Formats: sequence, structure tokens, C-alpha cells
Amino acid sequence: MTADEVAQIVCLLATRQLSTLGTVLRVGNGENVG
Amino acid sequence: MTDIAIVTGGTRGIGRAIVARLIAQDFTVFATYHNDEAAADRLSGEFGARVITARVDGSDRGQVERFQAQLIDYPLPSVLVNNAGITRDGLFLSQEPSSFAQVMANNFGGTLNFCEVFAPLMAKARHGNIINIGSVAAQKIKLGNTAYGCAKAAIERLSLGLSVELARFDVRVNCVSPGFVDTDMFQTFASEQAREILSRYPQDAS
Repeated sequence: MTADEVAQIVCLLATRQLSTLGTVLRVGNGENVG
Repeated sequence: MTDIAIVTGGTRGIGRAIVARLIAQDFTVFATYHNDEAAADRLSGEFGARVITARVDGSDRGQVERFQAQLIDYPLPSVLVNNAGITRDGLFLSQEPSSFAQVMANNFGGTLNFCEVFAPLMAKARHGNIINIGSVAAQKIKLGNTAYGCAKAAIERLSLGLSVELARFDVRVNCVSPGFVDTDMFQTFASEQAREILSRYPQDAS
């Protein structure tokens, strides 16, 4: 996973395009997605 | 004036990428850094007035409070991204006694300090968005990585707790916990294993 891909997810949260609350988004590299 | 965002540890690695993405979304971004002035200068050179760099040791509550006081002439930040962190990998029985505490203070303590200073302001304004950066290390065990993993686990738990408390004020709190990302920090804490780990995963989404 690249830093920019992490940044894109953060940006979706920052702009409220992802309407999650109290979520731990485990992202990247398959083994830790869940 | 555009919306204001704060990104701690915003001059390098994941933080720098977040700064770039937020600027593309029309934010003005305050990017804090601890030591690397050259990286801060490079960031300012690239983004000009859209980014304001500030030297802040997030583990020092007083520095975070003074930083907040400097923002008095700006609109209240609507986004806080707690990204800053360090790693000091070492075996528990052989590392310097202060090492574990330093990792906790910089990673978890820094996140806590920024939340303690800015969350009340966001709650009062009934508007805010806090995004804490966790890590796969909170759950995946790696030899010598205990302090970093503990700090990131604490950040995840802090995020969940604050999200419940602050939701009534329309302040959202979430945590993004990436896996391995090829940054300067990754190269530091896993230099001997980095290539082997990275070789297991595609690094290009295209």
C-alpha cells in the first residue's frame, strides 16, 4: 500500500464522503484487512 | 478562507501525502513537524500559502497549547489528523528503559494531547472531524515492536472511546490503521526485512 492510498482514505473521512463514526479502518496489504 | 486542517507529522511519509490530498480538496493545512526542517521547507516550497508548517513536539502538552494559540486568527480547524509518530524498535529486556516511554509519549501521548486541546473547541463549535492514524502493529505481533504496537493499540482504543463521547457534538472520530507502507519510518524499523516484506505485496494499485 502506498502513502497516497492511505491519504485518499483519510481524505474521504475528512470530507465526510465516508460517513463512518468510531471505526477502526484496517487497510492495506490483504493480511490485515478486516 | 478555506477550511482549516491540521496534520501532525505532516511533512514526510503518510502525513505529507495526506497534506497533499487535503490541499487538493481545497483545505488550508497546518502541517506540524518535530525535527526535519528541510522537509518542512520542501513542503512549503511545493504548496506555498496553502500549507503552514509549524514545529511542534506533540508529546509536550505546552507546545500543543501554544500551537493552538497561534491559530487564533484562523477559523477553527474542522479536521485534525493525528499522524505523527516515531519508532524505537528493540527487545524489551535489552532496550533503554526510557525507550518504551518515548514511543508511548510521541505516538499515543501526542495524539492524546492534540485531542485534548482541539476536541473541546470542536465540541463547542459542534463541528469537527478527527482522524487518528493507527497501524497494523496494534494487532500484528513483530519481535521488538512491542512499544509501537502498544501505542497504536492505545490510539485505536482512544479513537473508539472519543467517537462515542463526541458524536453528540457532531464531532466524528475515526482511526485508519494501515498495513506496511514504504516510508522513511518503515525503512528504519524494518530495514533488514523491508525488501522481503514489500516483495510480498503489490505496491501499485494500477
